[in-house]
Amino acid sequence: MAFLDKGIMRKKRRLGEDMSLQITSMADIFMILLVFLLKNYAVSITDYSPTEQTRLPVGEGKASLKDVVKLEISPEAIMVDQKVVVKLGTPQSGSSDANNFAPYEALSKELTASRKLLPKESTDANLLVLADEKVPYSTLRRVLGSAAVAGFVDLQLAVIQSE
Amino acid sequence: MHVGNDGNGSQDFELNLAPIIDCFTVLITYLLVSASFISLGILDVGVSAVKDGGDGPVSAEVPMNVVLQMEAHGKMQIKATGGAPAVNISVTVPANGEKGNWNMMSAELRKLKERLPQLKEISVYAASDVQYQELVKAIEKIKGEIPKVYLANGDL
Repeated sequence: MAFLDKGIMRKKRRLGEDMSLQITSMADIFMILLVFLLKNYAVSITDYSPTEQTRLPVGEGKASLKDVVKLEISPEAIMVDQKVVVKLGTPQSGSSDANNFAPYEALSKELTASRKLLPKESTDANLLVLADEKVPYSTLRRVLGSAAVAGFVDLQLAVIQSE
Repeated sequence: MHVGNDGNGSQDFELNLAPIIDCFTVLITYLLVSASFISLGILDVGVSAVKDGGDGPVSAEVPMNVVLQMEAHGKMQIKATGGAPAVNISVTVPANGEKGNWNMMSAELRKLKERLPQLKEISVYAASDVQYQELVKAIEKIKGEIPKVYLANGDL
């Protein structure tokens, strides 16, 4: 049985030697990953990702994305550039009344203020809209009214590209 | 970092990969967290307001107005009025189950465009409970036939 023990010890030693970490290979893998992620990394003033609650509809949008004011309509709230402006479903918002088509005042004020910060206030009328797929047209119509009051008449509706 | 001299004047240099791997790990973690893997598409639409024309001179010619009305449960109506010569066309597109019949809608728009070559824009009206995804689907199909789409902001 002694020769068996010697065999096991030799194997353990060999295993110990073979188990050293191949850092060179890992550096290669990390380099490739880094290059790929850097290529994807885009630096932009506007963050185009919707929040967790918003599920964008699927579509085939071919227009180019511009760096503009972002308006997000989730099932719970309406946000301008990540700031909650109107909370939907509250009595103040009047969203339970499907026949209420009046623009949201708070939204109009916020959009007007955002418009003043644009470099070309008089000519830039684009608004990026990220709306949840289940938002009813009654809500959207009021948002359109608010946007029109603030001078935004060209909308960019964001959709998730269908493959 | 180990630097050795083999006696010929040149120096052996061993690169210590561990700190480089540390930097890479941090960079990759940051980029993975900040990366957005959603591919966004954009549909360009305009907002049209329905309002009074004011007290200006009234033209005898009524401009062409083409409207797509999206009703509840997928039913749609395409109406074309005005223009020179004046037209008054109304086409009903029945629903496909509870959803819109997009192929039929595209076919009707194509026929309308053949009949009215000057047709370049269309307004979309929708019932209050029409969902945004249906509206987007309609706009996507319309854009295949008519380039400019306006979302209506008033009553018909």
